[in-house]
Amino acid sequence: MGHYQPLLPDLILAMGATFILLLGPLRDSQNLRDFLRWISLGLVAATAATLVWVNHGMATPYPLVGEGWLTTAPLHTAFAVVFLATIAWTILASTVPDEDAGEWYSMLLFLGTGMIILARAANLAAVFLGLEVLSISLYILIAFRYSKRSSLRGGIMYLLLAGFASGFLLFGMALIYAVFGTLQIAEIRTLALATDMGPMAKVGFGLLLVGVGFKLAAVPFHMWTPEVYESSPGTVTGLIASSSKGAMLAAFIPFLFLLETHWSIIWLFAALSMVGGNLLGLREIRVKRILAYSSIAHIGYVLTGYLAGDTLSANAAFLPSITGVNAVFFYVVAYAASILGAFAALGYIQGERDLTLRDLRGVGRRNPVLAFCLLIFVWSLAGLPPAVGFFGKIYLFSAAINAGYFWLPLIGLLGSAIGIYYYLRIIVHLFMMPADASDPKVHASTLQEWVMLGSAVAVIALGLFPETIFSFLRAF
Amino acid sequence: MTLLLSLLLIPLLGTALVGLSGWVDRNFARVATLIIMIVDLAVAIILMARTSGGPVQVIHPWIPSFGVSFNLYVDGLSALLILLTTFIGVIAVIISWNEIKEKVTSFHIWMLLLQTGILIVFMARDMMLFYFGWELMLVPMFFLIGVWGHEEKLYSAIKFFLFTFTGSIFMLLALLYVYFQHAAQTGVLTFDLTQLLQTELSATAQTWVFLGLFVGFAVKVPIFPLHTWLPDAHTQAPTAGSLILAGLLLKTGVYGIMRITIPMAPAAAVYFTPWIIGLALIGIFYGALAAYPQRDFKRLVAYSSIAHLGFVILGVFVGNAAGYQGAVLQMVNHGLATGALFLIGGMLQQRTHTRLFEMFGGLWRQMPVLGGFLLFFCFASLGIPGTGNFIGELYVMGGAFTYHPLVGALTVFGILFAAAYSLRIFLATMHGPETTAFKNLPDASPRETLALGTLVAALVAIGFFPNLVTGPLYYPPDLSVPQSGRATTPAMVMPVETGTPSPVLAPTSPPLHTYLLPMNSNQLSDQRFDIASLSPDQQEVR
Repeated sequence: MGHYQPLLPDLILAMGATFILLLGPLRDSQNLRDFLRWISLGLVAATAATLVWVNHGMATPYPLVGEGWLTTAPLHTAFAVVFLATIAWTILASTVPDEDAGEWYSMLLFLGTGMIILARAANLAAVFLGLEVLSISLYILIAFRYSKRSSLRGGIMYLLLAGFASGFLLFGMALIYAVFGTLQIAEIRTLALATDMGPMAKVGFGLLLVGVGFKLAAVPFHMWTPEVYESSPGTVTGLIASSSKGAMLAAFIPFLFLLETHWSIIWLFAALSMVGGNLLGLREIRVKRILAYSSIAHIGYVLTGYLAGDTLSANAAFLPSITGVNAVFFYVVAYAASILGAFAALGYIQGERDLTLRDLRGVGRRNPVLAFCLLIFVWSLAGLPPAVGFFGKIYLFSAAINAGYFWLPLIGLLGSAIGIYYYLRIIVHLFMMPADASDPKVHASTLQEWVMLGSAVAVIALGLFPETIFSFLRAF
Repeated sequence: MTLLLSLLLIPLLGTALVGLSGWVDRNFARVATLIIMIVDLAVAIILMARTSGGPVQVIHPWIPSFGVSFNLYVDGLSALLILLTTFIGVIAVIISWNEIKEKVTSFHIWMLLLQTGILIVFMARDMMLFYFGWELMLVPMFFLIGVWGHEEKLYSAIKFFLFTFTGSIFMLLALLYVYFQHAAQTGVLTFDLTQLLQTELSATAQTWVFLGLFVGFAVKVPIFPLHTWLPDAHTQAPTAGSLILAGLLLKTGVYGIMRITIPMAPAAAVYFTPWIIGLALIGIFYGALAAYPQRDFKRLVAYSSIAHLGFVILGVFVGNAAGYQGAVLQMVNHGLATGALFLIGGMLQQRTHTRLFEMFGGLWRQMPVLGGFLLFFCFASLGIPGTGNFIGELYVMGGAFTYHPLVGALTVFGILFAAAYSLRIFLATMHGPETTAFKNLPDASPRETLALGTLVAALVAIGFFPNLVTGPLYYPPDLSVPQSGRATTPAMVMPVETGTPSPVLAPTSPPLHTYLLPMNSNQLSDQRFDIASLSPDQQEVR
């Protein structure tokens, strides 16, 4: 093993996923489903443990391993662990028919594999590999309720558009390789900073940004979001919004040097997303689409933190934890904690058709626990204390102000004031509107209710003790 | 230390208790909340007594890497407002006893959360903690209006939320700017207000910081062009919600202006003073003129709040001791008197299911006790001698005259306007031909009499002994500490007991912001001690 040791977590997860895929068709029974669920959880836990163990085994701080494919830098390892946690959460919170259990859990594990490769990629090829593993699992997961037309439509839509985006990304990578003659991001960075970038390199990075922008659903590459979010199963939507985007963000962090040259494009991404995401959701009545627009806005906030970078800040010397990158990490955790729960809760409420605000009426009465959890999650997404989203936003905008930005935080804060309207609408319909004659159908098992309650408590606890997230980051 | 923390923890942890007891029986939730509120009031009274010797402070690390600490600081002004908060909290529970029939448990949980948020605002010395509390107040109030409010409750709740939240954004930006300026100048990461006040800001920076903070707080006060959320929210909220809105939430805005905005940017405050005084005067007249023709009882009282708060802002910005004391007096008096008017409006609505004046008339015959109370509170609202409002308005007027005779003269006319709308409330409901719509309306129940009676007692007590309110603003001279140049004159400490509002005629006015700090040599105990160097159990400064 030796030099290849850091590949161990990825191997465990991918092989485990294959194993589960093979076990799946054995029998259509609930027992097997439960068995697969716990096995999958075990695999995720084992992967996370191996990841941490491998990381601690490394002597040098930022080595590139496996012929320079992956990095074991603490930040990226921490990201990977967070994404594994989101996968574990989804395994617990999702509902799946007995006969499809094997495929479901196996795809979730493959998704996790893609995420941890992407999050730790040190090489353009690894970025592409991780992204493709992640995307292909997502195509299947999005279209998982294959008996429904809308579900298939969502899957195909994502397939086509993500295919285009991958094309842009790949072409950008090819141009970059043609210019710099290497796939190593660190080497590209040195070369790019050392010399003036020629037009070909600029175009290459520009195409790369298009691919990234699509994956993050930043305005103007956001069009796919509402449709895909609407048609996916609730828990999968949560993953698309949180860790799938988060993995792309983590992979994007080594490209911080692009701030030197492509600063204005990222600035525009951020500003447009914050304005667009918050405005587009105002008139929407389908709840999942509202949260889809909100996720566009949230990407704008995160990119604001990204723009603050890790070295740009004038006060970096005595503000060690408010670098933009740390704020981005905090926000990815905070956002994942909130949005996973929110989409899962909506998934439990959803009936046969699109879930509208009207359908939320009476849920507060019918299932107070679920409604309470949803309230906490929306509260957090709106960025209000004591939920964790409050400090998430404060950190991002503090980092941006610290790095000398003024307009971006102002746009973001004003945008969030606009966006708060649709969060309030969700709350209004949950608790303040009389229920329609037909009671809303809520399917949530006891286990799922406990999982929801647990993450609602976590959202509050992290909001009261935000330092925990940084302590977690420092532990790597 | 335990005192300050328990003041916060009692309502916060009380939510769990209320949740449990409400699960058993909804009446238990009411009783539990009442007990919690009374205990909190008791703690506040003890705190009031303990702050008479000097400020009390507690500092715990909270988020060290961000310079945020759990920094509570209570001096006379804070203690006064905390006392008002806990007192109104008790009244609010008593008054909701019969009014709230649906979702009783969650109503009381939101009330307790709201109280926690308000208390954090009045106690926080750390600006991030302050902002935390500031935003924490929003959601409970949103629920109180949106779930238990009247006809237009959703519209009003959302409007209230959006206005306050948008305002708070500017406040946050200003606070973060000062935070980073302070960090850049000193290398110290802190949100501690005492330290942030040492930040050197250029004139331009001060202007922007002042505007940011001022807009954030002015929305809450509300100051004239930003007031439009108030009539809706006050009118549509349930009685307890109106009481807390008028009595407490509006005061958080004034408190923020006094505690943070002006000290943070004193030069800008002086620069903007004429404009703000203009806005305050507009508020006084606009509020009165808009109040008078209202058809809705609570809406009239809501507009009158704008006028009353105009007096408060005027008092704050005229920049002399009389104005400052008058402003604080009016904050308390307005909370009690206007709160009581909202209570009576709520009681009438509960009995008649309407708030429209044309439906009322001649009700005094049916409800003599309630009518008597209404008469008293209308008189209090127009500032009749013997009530605290008289003293408060007198001080503000005196301060205004010292600032500029014209402003003083206009203020006097403002009081005339107040008389008009206050009397209309009483005449339109209790006097005139007896309405045929309602027969045998029950008079005030013992519970209601208790709530209103307490408010009467408080107002009369302040009317005769205004030192109850103004006294805590100043600390007795600490003879062990050499007097500094900024020490106050005895005449300013005890103006009332001499029987004449003489400090009004103080020949020279010190700079505006010095009045907004405790005026004594031992005023800033936290500057005499380096808090950080003390061990945790020593950190309670007495």
